[in-house]
Amino acid sequence: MRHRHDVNIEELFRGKEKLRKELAALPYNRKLAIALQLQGMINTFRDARLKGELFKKEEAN
Amino acid sequence: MDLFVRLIEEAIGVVNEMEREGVIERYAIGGGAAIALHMEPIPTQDLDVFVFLPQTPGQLILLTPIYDYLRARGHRVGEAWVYIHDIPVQFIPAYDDLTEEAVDRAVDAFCGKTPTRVFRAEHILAIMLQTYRNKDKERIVRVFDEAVIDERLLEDILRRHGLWEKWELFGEKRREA
Repeated sequence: MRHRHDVNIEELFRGKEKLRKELAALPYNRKLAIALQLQGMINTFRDARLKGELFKKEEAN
Repeated sequence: MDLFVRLIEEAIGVVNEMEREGVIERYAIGGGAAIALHMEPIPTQDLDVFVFLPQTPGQLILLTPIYDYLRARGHRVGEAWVYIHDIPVQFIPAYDDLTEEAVDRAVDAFCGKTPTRVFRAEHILAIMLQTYRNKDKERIVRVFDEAVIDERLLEDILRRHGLWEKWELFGEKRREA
């Protein structure tokens, strides 16, 4: 039987909204760094997936 | 992170030097890097630097002087980007009335202690509506929802640049979705 977690979805969304506002309020230099590094992480993930490395890691785990 | 932040500031500092030395005339940051000024940061590959370039005798638009300047100072010039202090930067000559206006009317900002200019959110929206790639469509929704938008200014920009009908159509599609 599937266990249903007790999640307060409204609270979860409020938390995400709070984080979004905190990020938006950061100084521009920090926000630029985050924007570029986020894309770097996406690129790394995409490259690993294209090489099949993610799949290998999942199998090993 | 601190080193990376400093490299970004230094990269923008180099662009400021290029402006002072006349390699470029006026510039402003656009694209995803500009969005970061107005709301939470979203992933971006590079700093898009929209520029006015000095007139050349044949009226040809050449980026060669930019690349030569940067190479001479030890920065790497790649196929897609130039890497100023290892930060990927793309120089884009302002290519039409809308992008020229976006550069002209960009807002002053500071990246750390380094002054710079960044597109207004209203121009960012108009340019994304014009280019209209899949990522632009996603970003339009986010920027409109999350950034502070002067809706009268946005409407003025969209009407003057022939984008108002496209904007209304985009809104209709979004409401249907």
